[in-house]
Amino acid sequence: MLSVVSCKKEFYTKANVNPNSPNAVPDAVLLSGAEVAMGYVQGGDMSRFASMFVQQTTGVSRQAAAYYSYVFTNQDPETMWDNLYDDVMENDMVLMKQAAKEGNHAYYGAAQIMMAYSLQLMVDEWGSIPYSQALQGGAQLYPSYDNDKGLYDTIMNLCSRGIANLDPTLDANDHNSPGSDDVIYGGNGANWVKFAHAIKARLYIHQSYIKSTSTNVVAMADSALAEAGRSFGSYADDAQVMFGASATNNNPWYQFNTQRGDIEFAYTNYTPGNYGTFSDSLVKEADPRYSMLIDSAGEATGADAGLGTFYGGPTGVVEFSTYAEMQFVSAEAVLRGAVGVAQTYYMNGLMANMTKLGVSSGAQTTFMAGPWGTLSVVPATALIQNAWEENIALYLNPEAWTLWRRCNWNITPTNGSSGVPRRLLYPQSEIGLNTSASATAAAATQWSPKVFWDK
Amino acid sequence: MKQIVRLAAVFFAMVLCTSMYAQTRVISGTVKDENGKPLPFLAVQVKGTTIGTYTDTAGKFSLTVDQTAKTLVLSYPGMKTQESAITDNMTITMSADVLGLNELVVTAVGITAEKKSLGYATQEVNSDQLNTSGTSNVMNELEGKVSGLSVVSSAGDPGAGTNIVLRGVTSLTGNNQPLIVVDGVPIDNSINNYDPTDAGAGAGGSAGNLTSGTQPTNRGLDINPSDIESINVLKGPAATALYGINAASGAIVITTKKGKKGGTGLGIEFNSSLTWSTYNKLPDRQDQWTQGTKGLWYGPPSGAGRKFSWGAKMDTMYWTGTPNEWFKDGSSMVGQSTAHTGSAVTPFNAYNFFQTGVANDNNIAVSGGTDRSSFRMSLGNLKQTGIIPGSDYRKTSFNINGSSALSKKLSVSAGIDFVNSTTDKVQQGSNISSVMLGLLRTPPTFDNSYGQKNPVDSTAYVTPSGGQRDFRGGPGYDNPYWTVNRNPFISKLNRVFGYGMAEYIINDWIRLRYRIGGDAYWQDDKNAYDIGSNAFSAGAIFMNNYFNSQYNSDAQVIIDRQLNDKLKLNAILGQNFFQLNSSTRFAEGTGFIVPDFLDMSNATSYLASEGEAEKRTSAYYADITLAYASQLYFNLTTRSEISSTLPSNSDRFFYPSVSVGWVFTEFLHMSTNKILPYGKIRFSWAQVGKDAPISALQNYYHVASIVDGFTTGIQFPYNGLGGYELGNPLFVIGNSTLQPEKTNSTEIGLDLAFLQNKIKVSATYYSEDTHNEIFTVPVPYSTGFGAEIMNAGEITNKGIELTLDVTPVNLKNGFRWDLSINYSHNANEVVTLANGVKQLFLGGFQNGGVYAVPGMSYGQIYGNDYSHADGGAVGQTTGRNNLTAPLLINDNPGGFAAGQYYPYYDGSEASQALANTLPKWIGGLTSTFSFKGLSLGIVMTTRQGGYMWDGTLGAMEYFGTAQQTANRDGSQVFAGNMGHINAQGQVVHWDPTYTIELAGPGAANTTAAPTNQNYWQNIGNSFTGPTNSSIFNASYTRISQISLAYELPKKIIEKAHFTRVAITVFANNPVLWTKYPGVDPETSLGGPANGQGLDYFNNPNSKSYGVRLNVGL
Repeated sequence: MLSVVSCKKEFYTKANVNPNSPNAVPDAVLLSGAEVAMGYVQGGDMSRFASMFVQQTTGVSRQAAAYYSYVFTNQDPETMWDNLYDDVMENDMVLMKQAAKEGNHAYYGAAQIMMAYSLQLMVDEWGSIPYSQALQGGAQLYPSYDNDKGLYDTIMNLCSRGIANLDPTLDANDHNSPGSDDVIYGGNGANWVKFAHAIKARLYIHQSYIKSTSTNVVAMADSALAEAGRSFGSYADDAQVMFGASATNNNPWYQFNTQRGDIEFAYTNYTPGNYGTFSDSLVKEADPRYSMLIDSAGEATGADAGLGTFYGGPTGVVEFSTYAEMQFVSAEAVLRGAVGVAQTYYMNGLMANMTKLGVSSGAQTTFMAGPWGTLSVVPATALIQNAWEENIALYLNPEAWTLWRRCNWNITPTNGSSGVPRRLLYPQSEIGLNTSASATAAAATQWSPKVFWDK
Repeated sequence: MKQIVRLAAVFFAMVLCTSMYAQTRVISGTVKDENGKPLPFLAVQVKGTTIGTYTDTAGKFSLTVDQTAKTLVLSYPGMKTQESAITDNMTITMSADVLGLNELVVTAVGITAEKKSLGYATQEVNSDQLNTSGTSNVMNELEGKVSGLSVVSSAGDPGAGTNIVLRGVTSLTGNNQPLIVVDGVPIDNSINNYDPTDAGAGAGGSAGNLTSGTQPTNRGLDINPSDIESINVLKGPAATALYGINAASGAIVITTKKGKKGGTGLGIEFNSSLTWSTYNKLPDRQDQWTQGTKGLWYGPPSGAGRKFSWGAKMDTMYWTGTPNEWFKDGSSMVGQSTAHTGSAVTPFNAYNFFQTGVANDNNIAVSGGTDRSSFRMSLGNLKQTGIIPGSDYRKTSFNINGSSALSKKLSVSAGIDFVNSTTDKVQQGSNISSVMLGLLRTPPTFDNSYGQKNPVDSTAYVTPSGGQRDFRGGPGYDNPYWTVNRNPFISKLNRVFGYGMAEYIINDWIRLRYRIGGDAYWQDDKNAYDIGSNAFSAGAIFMNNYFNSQYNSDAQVIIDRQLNDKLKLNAILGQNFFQLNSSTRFAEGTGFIVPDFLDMSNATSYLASEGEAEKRTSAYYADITLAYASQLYFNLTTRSEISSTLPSNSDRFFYPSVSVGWVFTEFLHMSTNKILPYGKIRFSWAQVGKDAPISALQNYYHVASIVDGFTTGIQFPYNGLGGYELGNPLFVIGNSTLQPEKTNSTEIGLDLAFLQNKIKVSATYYSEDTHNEIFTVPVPYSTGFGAEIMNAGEITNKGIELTLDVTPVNLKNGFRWDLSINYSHNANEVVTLANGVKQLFLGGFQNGGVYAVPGMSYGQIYGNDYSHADGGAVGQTTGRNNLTAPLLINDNPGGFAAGQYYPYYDGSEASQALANTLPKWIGGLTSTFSFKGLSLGIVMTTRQGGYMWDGTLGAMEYFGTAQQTANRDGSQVFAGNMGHINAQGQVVHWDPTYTIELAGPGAANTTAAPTNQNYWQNIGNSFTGPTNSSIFNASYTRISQISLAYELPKKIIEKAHFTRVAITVFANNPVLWTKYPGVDPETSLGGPANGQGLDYFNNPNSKSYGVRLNVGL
């Protein structure tokens, strides 16, 4: 009997097939996977690092205390980099290929815009990163690094192609289209197109800061204003991920605060009343958003202030890009030379942000009547003022760090002479394993080389 | 292969030519041992001829002999060879060989061989050397008794796993533990583990990164030590080549006790032991400074400073006297000048948490036999409570085996074991529910027990409002009392394993043997976190069911032929078939409704998954031994195997072994020599192969999950939506081109016995080379994956093993002293990893983990150090990482991290290999004094060289609970050279005006800096500072066992119809000598997995004392 058995090859090969995992899956589960992963990654280390750099939050204990003082090792950005490539972009890539093959334009377009968004965040945090040879698994184990400036063109191109693929006349013939599986927009293609324009607006406004090419600045500002205008029409269009009530679906900040609690939001510094920079400023400015962003109910009894439920509840939101941000981008574009009325955009941004957070219209009116309601007439001051309000609207959003690197409002560094980090270290895995990039990656510090637009 | 066939043909031809004789008569007889027990398969040979036969199953033989034949020569392993004059119907009694040179050992695939015939090293441990001490895990019993065998128990927890490695690590990330074989059948020694607090590393197995959760068990634990007759350790590939793939890391061959044939009625053995255990070593805690920060007291529930023990000096403080739910002596602490009604502040002893564990082990066995049949039945029960409240282990095992000679030609035997156990495990390691983590971070002025003595009294860990009472009064770490009561982990096991065997005698030189063995178990793990637990504040429950079954079939033709008066052939031709099926069922429920009701039905949302794995292998093998004149033994084995885990075009592989043993004392006719009666030289060469992991050949989609290092993350389904990701498993690229991994091994050895066996020496040198390793090779994440399963890498192991057995004193009055010493040294080198892979993570943490690093031994502690004062070449940034240069002492006024005059550390120091976790040598000593019925035994073990990462200390220093931080009001001149790192990452120093940066380090530091909170929290610890500040030499020497046994004289007990009554008092692990600052260095965060040498809130080890009674009827 045994010899009969051993002759049949299938007897062995069949045993080795994993019956619990499929070999192919529909577009829907790839899109959901990538979107939720992106939300979680952005709301995780990416948000924590950036919010500590711009001092929206304060690291008080363990690793967070070290990060707050800019003490980073090459291991620290590892998880974030890993999650971005493995959980977000690999899924986007698989979905792009699969949807293209199956002729599902809407999925294809959404995947391209998701990829564009991931790349934009990564380039702004690291500069040059692998993309053109990346995400190919065993076929290319040592992906080379693409130049950061070139990657901006790639992102722009992904957005344009994504917009084209989301043309409703094409989608009408799709076999499958996104619906409830699209946790960002529920399959609303028009909103995806707005998101793509928002990403483009970001790319232009970032580049409008390159001082050496002043003519370019205006062109970039013009384009930023135009793209922002094609983006979200109201905060109802915001690109964002809402988290779930189940413990395995909870918001990343909520998970961090309940499981770690090493970061404080209104840092009492052991002496009640001595707030951290951000919360201190909000209190000083009598900003009605303070009580929305920060849960200071227990402060009177000496308890630590927590994160408000809007961003810090179990089902709290992680925003990718918002209408308010786009309005501040438009105001900045005008302040950098584009044609328009900065004050209008500034006011729209402020009020949209406050409305979304749930500030009453009365409180809004009071605040708008105060010194922060009107942009300064001095352009340089107005730029900082606009940036500061955008920073509040970008609470816990890594874009706030990019904004600071461009607009440079005053932040007192917490440590050392080199100041606030200008970029993230490359992870140890890249330095150690990627033979195509090890020299570049190993030589980078938190201050150099700067991302190409950060001069 | 051709040569083997040719060789076999020659032998068969020789065999056929031996049966032509005339003038014959038939003789017959029976052969028995001294107890009258028949001896089957005993060689009977006419002296001076090749005519011979073997006794049948009843010890009877008949033989056609030449008329002139006068004398028979009878030989039997373990017996003195003797000659008998030929008569009719002979009854011959053989006597045991007192010299013990014909000792029998069980080797691969159930072969019984004379030890002297072996060309490779094996070492036996018999029941006398086991079982004396009341330990529950038989693998721990091997420690110190076998050369070349490293045994590390992972903690003192009942039911904790054990890491055993023979002759060093050969597999980078695969299983490195030897195969366990019971009565010829391989049994499962898996690690089944799930850790819900770390979704990324929750998986078990040898490559699992077990840094949190509970101590995993390896299933070898299930064997009942009381049923073991002997254990033979097959060390090298030559010894195990016949076992194939599963024994590439050596084999531990266990023979269970059997009933005796021809016995006189029933024999009953009973033994019972009672053992008390306590912790043996814990880290030192400071007891002078209160909870708080910056010299001020802060306590729960508010004030960020409550997280630390950097408060006021205790002897300056008083309790207010008004108790609250956190403090019994006063709601807060005040200075001496403030009015109060309370008492002076004194420290609480956190270690009062531990208790005395008690173990009660009872075993009863009944055995008996007739001339043709025998049986043995045993029942064992163990009840053990651990040193941590709530931890326990309860096991009942039942074993029955029997054998019968059904006819002259056919004998059958079978045995079966049933095991039922329940383990209550406690949380450990890097886990906010970890008992040690919560306990050691607790400030000395916070009483976790709230004055309660009973560990289950909820007053200690639940506040009147129903929340958890812990020193932070909120998120942070679970109160250890909460953990042991509200975060239970219950593991239940039912297991059956056994064998059936038939042996048929075809003629006087060919036998057939068939053995089938099975091993099936069901392990049911349930882990819950009550509402209010810090890891799952809404409550959670996790259930894991593991179903495992494996079958092993061996069909063998056994040839045993005296070819002529000098040359003897033993050959085994066999076929092996092996099948493994394992299934897992997982269910998770979160969000409890009712507090303190830890049941799946109490959850509000659920997740579930299943897993199936299957593997089949089939092999043909041959084992051919040629013995020349009982002095020269030549052995050849081959195995050709097919495995289902390999790609179908390369799934068959072949591996051979050759060994030679030469008993040179026989050649020199020295067997009666007074000084050196026995000496053997042995040599072997072998190659063994290993297949791939199950289902590693292609990619699949897996349910998506996202974790980061700080949170448990997202697990799909997400609000009812599915999510999938590609990989095998997640983030790993499958590979359809895998080839078997191969180990080549060469071994030479010498065995000598001097002075009538009073001194026995055995020495072995071996060299092994494992290449084409199959492992999960890390690749840059930018590929979209984290790793690919590949063939790459090479590991070598070279070593020496020495054993010495001496009987220094053996007096006529019965006083005897036996001494056995063993020593082993293994030099391991990870020669290469994969292309571009400069280090391979094995276990632990990113900064404070163990790695494989090319050119170094396996298990390097990897991480960073302070900057060093080496400018390196001009413009270079690497000098600061030169570990041999003095430290760089920060010259930035008010500068970086801790500040001026402290060692410079900014975290950008390069990670590198810092220390080696493997010992330089390990040794054991067993000394036994016996006099009449008394015997005193001592076992000592030592492990020298090898470092351990004490992350526990690093964290305790950060939180201010370590004794090391008691010096916080002092200061110290840190030795090194002044300087700092500039923006380009180079070592520079300031000129005297602090305006110009000069290249390289400056002058030596002479200024003292305070060893205060700033120092300890910033750079003085490995928690936020450099890894290297927590690496310590983990060498130790311990007395692992002492036992004093008294065997009542036969004269007394025979009257009461006892055959044996013995009482033993013993101590396990009573004395430990080590400079390691933490818990016992023989604990392991990684449990039985490959990542050894890490200590991060490891549960402590135990020492125990007990008494045992053995009664025979």
